Amino acid sequence: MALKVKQLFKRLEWLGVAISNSYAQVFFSDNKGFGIALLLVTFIDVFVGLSGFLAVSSALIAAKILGFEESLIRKGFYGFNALLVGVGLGIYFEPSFILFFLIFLSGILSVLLSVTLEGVLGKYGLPFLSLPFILIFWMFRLAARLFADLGLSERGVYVLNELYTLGGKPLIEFYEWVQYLGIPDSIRSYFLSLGAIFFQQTLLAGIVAALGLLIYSRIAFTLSLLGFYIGYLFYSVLGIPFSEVSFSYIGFNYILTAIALGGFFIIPSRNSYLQLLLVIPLAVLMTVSLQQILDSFFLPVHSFPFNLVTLITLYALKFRVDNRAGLSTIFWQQNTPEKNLYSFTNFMRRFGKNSSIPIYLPFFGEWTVTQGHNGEYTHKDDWRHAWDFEIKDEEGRTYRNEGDYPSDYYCFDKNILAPAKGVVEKVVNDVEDNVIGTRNLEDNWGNTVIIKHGEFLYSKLSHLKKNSIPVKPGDSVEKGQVIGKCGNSGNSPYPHLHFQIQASPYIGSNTLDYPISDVLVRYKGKESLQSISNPPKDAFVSSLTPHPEMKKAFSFVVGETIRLKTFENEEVWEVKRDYFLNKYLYCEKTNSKAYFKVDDLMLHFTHFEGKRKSILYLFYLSAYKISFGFTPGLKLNDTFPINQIFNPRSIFLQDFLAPFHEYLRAEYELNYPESNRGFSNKALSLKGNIQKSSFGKNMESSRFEFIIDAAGLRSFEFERGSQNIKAVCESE
Amino acid sequence: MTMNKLTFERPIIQRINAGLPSKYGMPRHLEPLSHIDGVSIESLLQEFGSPLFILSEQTIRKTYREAYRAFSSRYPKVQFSWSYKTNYLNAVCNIFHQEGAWAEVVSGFEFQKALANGVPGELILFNGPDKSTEDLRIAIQHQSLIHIDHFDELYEIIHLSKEMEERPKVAIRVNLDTGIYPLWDRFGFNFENGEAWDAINRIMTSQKLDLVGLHTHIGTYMLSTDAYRIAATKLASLAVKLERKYGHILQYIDMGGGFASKNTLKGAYYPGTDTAPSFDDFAEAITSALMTSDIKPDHLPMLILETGRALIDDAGYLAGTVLATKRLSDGRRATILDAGVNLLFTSFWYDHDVRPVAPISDQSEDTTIFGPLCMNIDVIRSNMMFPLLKKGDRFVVRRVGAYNMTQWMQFITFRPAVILLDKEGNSHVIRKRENLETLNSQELIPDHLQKFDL
Repeated sequence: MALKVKQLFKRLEWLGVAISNSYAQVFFSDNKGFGIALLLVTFIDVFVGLSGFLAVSSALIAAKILGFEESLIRKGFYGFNALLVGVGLGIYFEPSFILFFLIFLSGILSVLLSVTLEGVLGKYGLPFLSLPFILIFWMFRLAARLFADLGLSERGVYVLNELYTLGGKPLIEFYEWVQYLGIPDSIRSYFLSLGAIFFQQTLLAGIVAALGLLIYSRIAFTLSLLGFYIGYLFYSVLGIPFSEVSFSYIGFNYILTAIALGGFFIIPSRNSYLQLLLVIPLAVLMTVSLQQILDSFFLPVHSFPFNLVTLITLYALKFRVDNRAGLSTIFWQQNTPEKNLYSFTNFMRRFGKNSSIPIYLPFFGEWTVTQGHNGEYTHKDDWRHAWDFEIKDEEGRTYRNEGDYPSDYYCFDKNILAPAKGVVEKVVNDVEDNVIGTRNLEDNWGNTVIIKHGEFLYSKLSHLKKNSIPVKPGDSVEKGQVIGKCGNSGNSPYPHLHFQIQASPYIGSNTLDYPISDVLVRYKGKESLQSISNPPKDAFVSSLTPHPEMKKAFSFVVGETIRLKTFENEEVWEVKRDYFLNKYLYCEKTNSKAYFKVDDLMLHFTHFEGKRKSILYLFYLSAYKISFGFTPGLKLNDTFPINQIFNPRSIFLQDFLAPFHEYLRAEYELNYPESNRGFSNKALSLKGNIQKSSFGKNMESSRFEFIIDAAGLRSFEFERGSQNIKAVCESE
Repeated sequence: MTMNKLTFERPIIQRINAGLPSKYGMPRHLEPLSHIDGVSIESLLQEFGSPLFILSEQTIRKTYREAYRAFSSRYPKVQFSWSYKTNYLNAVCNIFHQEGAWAEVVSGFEFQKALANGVPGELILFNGPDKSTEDLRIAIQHQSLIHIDHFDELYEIIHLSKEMEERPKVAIRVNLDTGIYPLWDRFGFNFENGEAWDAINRIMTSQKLDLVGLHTHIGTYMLSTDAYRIAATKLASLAVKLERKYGHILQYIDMGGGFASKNTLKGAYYPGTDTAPSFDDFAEAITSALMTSDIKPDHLPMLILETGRALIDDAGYLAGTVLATKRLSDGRRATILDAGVNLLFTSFWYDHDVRPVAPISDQSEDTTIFGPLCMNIDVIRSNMMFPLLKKGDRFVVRRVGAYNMTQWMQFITFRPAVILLDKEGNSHVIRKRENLETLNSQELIPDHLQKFDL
């Protein structure tokens, strides 16, 4: 019996999650506590609460039965519009059987409308926000005039009665105490506005919502105040007559707009905050004018201005050619502004933009950048994102003897390789190599190979040696395949390789600002392995060759399982791939996921979801950045998104400041052994540490060690304070 | 006012060589060499005595990097291994180890030397036909890479592997016809007659050894790069065959050494500086053969090179003093130096580049250059156009870094000091001049021979 109940609970687990998320989604959140708090708030009026709950449940069950994407149902995407409709109907009409039936219908309709709008707006990469709710609610308001059996409700007018039935005298007293707190008018209006989002007219509802918002996101909370007050002040400045209560019916538009554009769909930053000074007044103008139109239909504007302003702004931002305004739109929604911000800044720091297809160095050995991006000779204007490479000796010379002949130059006649897998698009192979010091401006690019690596992603290798190119258009090439030899053809007074990335397959196309992956850079006396690199002039660059045992240990293949055994514990991880082709390690026992990306030379963990008590979490921290090739004593450094390291309580204050300054840091360091092991069976030990700091002061250090041999990863150890975990690894 | 007295120049009779250059070329003026890396040779001789071996650290490192660059800019995995026999002075070895080279040894003694220098056992390649059972045992224990020379050695290793815990890491040395003469077929297993393939099969079926590589060493002082291309192609074909039959992927191909230095061989028409191929030439031949072979791109083995001579020859100098001059019976001039074949073993096959240290005279005379030994064969150069040095004048021999400091003889006289000039031009004694004590310390006299009366 107990087992059956347990099974039933398990089967209905999705519904519980989806319902709480549907409530939280009203504020863009997926925080369970926030969702439940909002749910309770709607039950200040039991009947209203029931209406909302009924609408949400019918919507979610309908979505499930119709077979929509389960993860979206769980997130509450198809529930929050139904909730708003349900609550709204519950407030406006007297309870009756027919009303419940209408609420049930509206729930189903809101799913259909949500999916429809998702399809239409999704094509433009836009969210459907609360448009389904507005359309349905307007529809009901228009239709209800003819429904004779539906009586308009007078509840809400008699709040005290409602509360008395709900919580007796103590609740009344609490309510009275709250109502008559000495709160300034504007703050009262702010709370009322928050409550009005889901038709609540009590201060209590607003306060609970505000607290929930604060707990869910510090940035969203700050933005809600900012949006509200900009709107409030603009009303005063324009001299529009309003009362605090009437303002609250439209004030939430500015709150929601501020959260959406200041931090939820745009990465929170100083600029995203500043833009609100323009956007909110625009929203005010739009609200006032829409009111004039809708009044003639006896319809409220409700959240329509918020929807319009947000969609117009997000859509317009998509057509920018660069991000000089510093407003970065989100590309991976993690449902809180903080998470979005921390992972975005961390991602930009680690991988930059446009690096989904790794492009590697197109040669063997160590070369020098003799002209980088925005170079002083020819890398200008449309061709500014290019590199020239040559080989230098210890004295910094690029040639031996007098340098009178191309063959005196170290780089001349060296193999040039395909920088990544692709298809050869274009080949020029018949331009004479120049006499040293002369240039051929007629065939500016000389002998050239252009390779297509993906849509709008081509690499171009120029000034190659005459008749040295063994490939022809249409050939597919593997990364590292020889595609020619370094020469001195075209606009090239002495032998060098010109390398650029471009978006079209033509010789002479303008260049793309696209980084080179996994480059060992020696620059100004410092050596560093850069996951993405734009090496500057005079940098020495080379690639590392992967060690087979490192690849075996860390190049996870989808389908593989890894078993980690500690003294008292065991975890089994599966390598999986999700709907969006992101790869991750999945630990079923702890329901944790560690997302990673892996290329030919490196492994990077990008994100963790789940239990921080799991071994998988410690592994995610320790294998955060690993290169499969290494030189003796190589050191890798990286930084974590702080929300993945610090616990939520300790970053509470940081969250407020995060759009402007990060004072918390979490740094990663990995050290490779100093000595070479040749081909021996000796195990390889990789040691590293993780440092947490606040204002540059060290707060906590952890140490870790991997032992690797020819069979792959053998063991993993993690030590933090008195905690020491040692796990033996097996992979199958 | 006093006039400086002109230095005395002994009179000579010389045929006038004016007019068009003959087929022997223009009359050659031998440029003196007074400084090495900016340090005066005269001052070094005064400080450390004559004769004196001088090594330039700067040249060693520069040459190594040039060689490494030539290969690493053409091939993804390149490893040099310092050939101990070429010059096993510890300081020299350590320069190469600092630059990243592993160690290549051909005897138990060299193996011990490499270990004592701190080279990890697994980075030592053990070559040569002379490996005792004890040597092999130690090499297996150290996980060193044993390059098997013959079947007797192979059987011995298989035998040892049965009683030892460690799995021996082995490669076989392959000799092959690369179209050059003489064919070095006394080392390793022959490729053409199938012995090499046979040896590979025995290793694979024994299941006791890890076959990690293939090794060849096609000759010495090679002036043809094509021979290397052929050798690399043949080794690559073995690697492909091995992978096809056993699914076994080789970790390395060792192309040995034998690259020519810029010394001139006796009897060569052109000087070595003009004929010796560059590192780039050798590298191009070897790497292009491997890259175009049928080995799968992601299974390309590491390329190991054991070149010794070409890396160190240029960095070594032998400086000394003229002991005497005399005229021979046929009228030729003879100059007697304080360094002979006891120190310059290589003078048996090179026409060494001997130079005066100080500018002496524009005139030169057909001269035989003798060493100090009481042996008729002690000839450094049998005839060369040499200026008119006299007793006490200093000379220097260029390009003597390879083999001389390992093959030198303690004969009749002591072996001299060896100094190293570092990057800043500071001199360091890296081997002391021998003295009576050095030699006597190794000798024992039986009691009945302790005393004598004369």
